[in-house]
Amino acid sequence: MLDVKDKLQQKIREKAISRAKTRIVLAGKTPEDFNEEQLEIIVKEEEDKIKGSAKEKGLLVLLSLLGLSLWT
Amino acid sequence: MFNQLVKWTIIVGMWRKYKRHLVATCVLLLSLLLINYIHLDYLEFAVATGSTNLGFSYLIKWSGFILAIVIYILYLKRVNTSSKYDSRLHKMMKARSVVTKKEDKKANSISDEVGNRDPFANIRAKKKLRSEADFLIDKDD
Repeated sequence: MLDVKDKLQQKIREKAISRAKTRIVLAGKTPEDFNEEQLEIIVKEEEDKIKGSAKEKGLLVLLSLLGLSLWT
Repeated sequence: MFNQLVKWTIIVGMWRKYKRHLVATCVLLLSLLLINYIHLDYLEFAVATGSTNLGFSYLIKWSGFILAIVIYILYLKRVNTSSKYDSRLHKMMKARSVVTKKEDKKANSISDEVGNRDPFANIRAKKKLRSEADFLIDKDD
């Protein structure tokens, strides 16, 4: 069970790092332009966004399940 | 009134995101029904004409079913793969990649001097990341 949680956490972290790199590139900079603290903040923000969107999608599924009863 | 709003929000949201999937599923169901009805018609015809050799027709019917399902699965795989790189962000990244390739050559020559260090290496290993607020609070302490 813990392995699954760790793997999930790892995947989210990698995704957040990838998005952080994209965001930095789009801003016209490189990761080397930032210190470790700043990079950590950017990656943390991206991680929070990923977790937030996962919660939203779960809510949408829940609403659509509830929505079946909305039609009756 | 709120229920109606929620209902239509969900319907519109799901249609926008899964339009191609829904259409493909409808086409699959229609084709399976069509194959089934054609086969039933052929069976009636065969019984009426007194034909006893019906095994081959079942083979064709099930081959049709399997083919329709395989085409459906392959189509959905293609749709899912293409939609992965369909976002506005990826289009912008593609446009930038030509510009950044030249910058990369310059950066590579510099990083060769510094050594190929992954700036995210320590961040990957951390269990919990700190937010901006955490850094500010730690600084004040």
